[in-house]
Amino acid sequence: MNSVLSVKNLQVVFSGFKALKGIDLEVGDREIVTIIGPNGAGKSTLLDAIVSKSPVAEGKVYYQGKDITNKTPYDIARMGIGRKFQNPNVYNELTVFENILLALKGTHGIFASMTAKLTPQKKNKIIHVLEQIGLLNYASTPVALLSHGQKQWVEIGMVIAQDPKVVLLDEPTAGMTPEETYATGEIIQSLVHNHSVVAIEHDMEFVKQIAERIVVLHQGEKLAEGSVEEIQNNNKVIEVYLGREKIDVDAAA
Amino acid sequence: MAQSTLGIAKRSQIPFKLVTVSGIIFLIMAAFPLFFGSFQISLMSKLLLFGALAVSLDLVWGFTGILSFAHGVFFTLGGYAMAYYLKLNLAADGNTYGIDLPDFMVWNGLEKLPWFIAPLKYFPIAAVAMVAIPAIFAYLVGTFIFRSKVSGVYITIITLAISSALTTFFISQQAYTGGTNGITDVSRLSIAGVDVPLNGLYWMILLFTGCVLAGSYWLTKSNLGLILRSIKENENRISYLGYDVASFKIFIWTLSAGIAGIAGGLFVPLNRFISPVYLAVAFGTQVVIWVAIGGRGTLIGPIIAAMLLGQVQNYAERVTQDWQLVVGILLLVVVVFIPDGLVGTIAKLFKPKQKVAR
Amino acid sequence: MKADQERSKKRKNMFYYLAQEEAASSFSSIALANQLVNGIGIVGILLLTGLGLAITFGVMRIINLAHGEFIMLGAYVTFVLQSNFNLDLLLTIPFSFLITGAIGALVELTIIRRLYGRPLETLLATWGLSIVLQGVIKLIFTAQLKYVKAPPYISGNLTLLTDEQGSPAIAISYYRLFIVAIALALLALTSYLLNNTDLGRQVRSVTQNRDMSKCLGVNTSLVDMITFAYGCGLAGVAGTVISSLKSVSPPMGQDYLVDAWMTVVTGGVDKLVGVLAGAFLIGQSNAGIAYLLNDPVARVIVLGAVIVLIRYFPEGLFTVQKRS
Repeated sequence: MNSVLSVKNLQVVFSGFKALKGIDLEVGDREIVTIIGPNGAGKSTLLDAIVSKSPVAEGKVYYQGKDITNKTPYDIARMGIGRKFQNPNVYNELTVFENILLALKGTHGIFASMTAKLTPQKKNKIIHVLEQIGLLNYASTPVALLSHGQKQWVEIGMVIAQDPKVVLLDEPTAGMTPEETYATGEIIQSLVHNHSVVAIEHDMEFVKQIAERIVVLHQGEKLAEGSVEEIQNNNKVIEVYLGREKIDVDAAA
Repeated sequence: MAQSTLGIAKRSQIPFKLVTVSGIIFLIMAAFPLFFGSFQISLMSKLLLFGALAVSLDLVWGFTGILSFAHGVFFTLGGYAMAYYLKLNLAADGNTYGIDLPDFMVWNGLEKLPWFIAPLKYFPIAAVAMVAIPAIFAYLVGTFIFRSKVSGVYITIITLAISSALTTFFISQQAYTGGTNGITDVSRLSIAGVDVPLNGLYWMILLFTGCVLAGSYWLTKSNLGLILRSIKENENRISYLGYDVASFKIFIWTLSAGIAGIAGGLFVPLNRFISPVYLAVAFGTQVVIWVAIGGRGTLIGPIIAAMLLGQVQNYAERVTQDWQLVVGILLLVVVVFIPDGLVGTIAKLFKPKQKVAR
Repeated sequence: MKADQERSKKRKNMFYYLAQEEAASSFSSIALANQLVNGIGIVGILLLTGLGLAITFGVMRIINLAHGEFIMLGAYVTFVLQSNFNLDLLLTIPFSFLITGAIGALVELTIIRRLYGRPLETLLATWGLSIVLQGVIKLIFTAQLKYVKAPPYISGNLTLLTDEQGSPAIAISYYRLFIVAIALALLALTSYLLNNTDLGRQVRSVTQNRDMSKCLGVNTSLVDMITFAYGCGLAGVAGTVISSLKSVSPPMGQDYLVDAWMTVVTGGVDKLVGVLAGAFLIGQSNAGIAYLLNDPVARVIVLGAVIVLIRYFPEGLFTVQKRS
């Protein structure tokens, strides 16, 4: 397989606690990979390790064949990996427009940023992104005033503006209404025309909407991998993931 | 879609109103020496320098979120560079002991000018040193602390430690720094043998402060300003957008130290001495208070606060021994009750409230 | 004015001769040992002054730059009680604990409370407070140095080694040993309170998860106030015990502030024992370097070392790495 992002035997350790115990993951060109798993399975940690937010203890991360393990986050971002965090991680004190402008590809130097002009091309690009996330009318609104779902979109917009090859999305639909979730699904599906996407999700309906291939994590290990049907019929998955959810439901009842 | 509704278009326009108003203020300030005596001119010059110092701190604190108590240190390092120049250029007969060595060095048994001080006899070198020494020092410190996981309060504590350590160091190096008294009784400023009159010095300082203010305004309105504000709000996020946060911090930190250094250098010919008093945390706190009271991130606020408080202090210190108490109360009140500072609060009052657009 | 200049010139000369003398003195292992034994006294002082900060910063994460002034307040309480009622220094300890604790509670109530979750603002406000407290004390007692008497029954030196002439070569004063003892006792008491009592458990639960504790019925604002007051009370006790070592003056807290901070930051904030480790490291290295070079240089080097330490171990030397 011609993979854009490839993770080999990845291990992350926090003070002796193994959060990831050797994960392999391949992400192909313009493919959507969905990661599911119970809380504490290591899903966010996996994305953290890829973008160097958490240090990799062992194993390698390759991007387009290049070793990017433990490179600086900004290098990884510049190479073409964009990340959306679990809680909308956006700039509340800036306007929606400024948030997108900040994320825009290509103005990362100190002196470049001093002299950078807002060219018509840039402006059009930003307007295009704002249209994509449906926030064109909110361009000059400070993000602090937006709803939770809208903030999620702003962050997705930032990732789009970065124009990365690989998009890592950590629970992009958390806290969204079903309508918002569906709209988000459409945004993500439109992303695949140009990007590879790795998404962490909890909402199974949403997973079914977007998923091509699913990876199930459990206690820092890869439990299963396959299509939606394969995963739904996988006994191990039913046991630890769905079964546990059932118990949770029972306990809650 | 009309661009004006996006609030985007105005970014590129030149703010004519602002340029006109500041131009008029600049002209009024330029005419100041024509109407006042030398005492007032000298005082106003010092106040302008305090203003520039406050603006330099505003760049790193108000915009980038790095609270520094070390700006007094950068100011003073520039000051010492200039003080050596002025001291070494005292005519030999103007010197207490009639030789080329400054008095405090003689008292402390030095027989020869140390090699690292000797070059400061020449104006171009001193002029460069007054920017370069604080800037290089800041660059080294900045590279050391910003390229690490350390941030926020710990940086501030480090700046306190730096200020405290350097104060102790300068006091202990009696022979080279003049110890507690510092470098006193320096000559008036003369460049290449030509005396600079007080008015000339004043205009130089006015121009410098004007440039600092205008430059800082331009810088903070550019994309760089946007990036700095983002670093202030959340420095981790922006690194995942491809920005090398540390290099931005080091840049603005070094720039700001350079500005503070020039202010310190220009301060010495007016003050006629420099001493570890300006290195100490108390002076660093003074600068922090100017910015806090004026309003962080407003540029004009800190400059106004520095000039007003500097002025008040000038009189208060003669009337009462307890000026520091007033300063403490001011700081406490501003932090707890008016965190936006005076200009920040006034600006908020006049700004139409943002409607929640849903 | 002229007299001032004369004096400063004289002082300069004095420094000059002192410097000469120091350069002449030669290295001696016994003198170094003596210095290190006396370093234990410094360790005691650091531990005592750092302990209160280990509570307010270590447990509550409040950046309290007025910590030194609480030490100063404790010293003044002792001064007032001793000069007015001729009270023994040891008997003034409970008073200074209660009075500085009460002032601490008041400060928490009026200032700190409004700034939780904003560490930089807290830092600024407590810095302002420190200036205010110094100013107020200066207004009341003037800037003049005051002196406090140590209890007569804890005087003299414990001699560990004598030289050929029979005079003490390695010796430490009983009072310094007393400081170490009191510091260790307070450390033990505090760590017992924190780990083995209901209040201590509540304190830890509040600092770990304020909202959750609130839901569980913990009166978080009361816990905050008591904890902060306790930390300030400890600073007061430190002030009392230290007051007889040097003079008592409004700015005296500043020196102790820096030392206390270095101690806590070096030791790390996860465990109270870290303070002991920090005090030991800083106290002994300060004593050692001060012997080999001189006091100001030792201070500069230790401050530099602390900057390096913060740079590489911002959470201190004895902490656990946490998940994101």
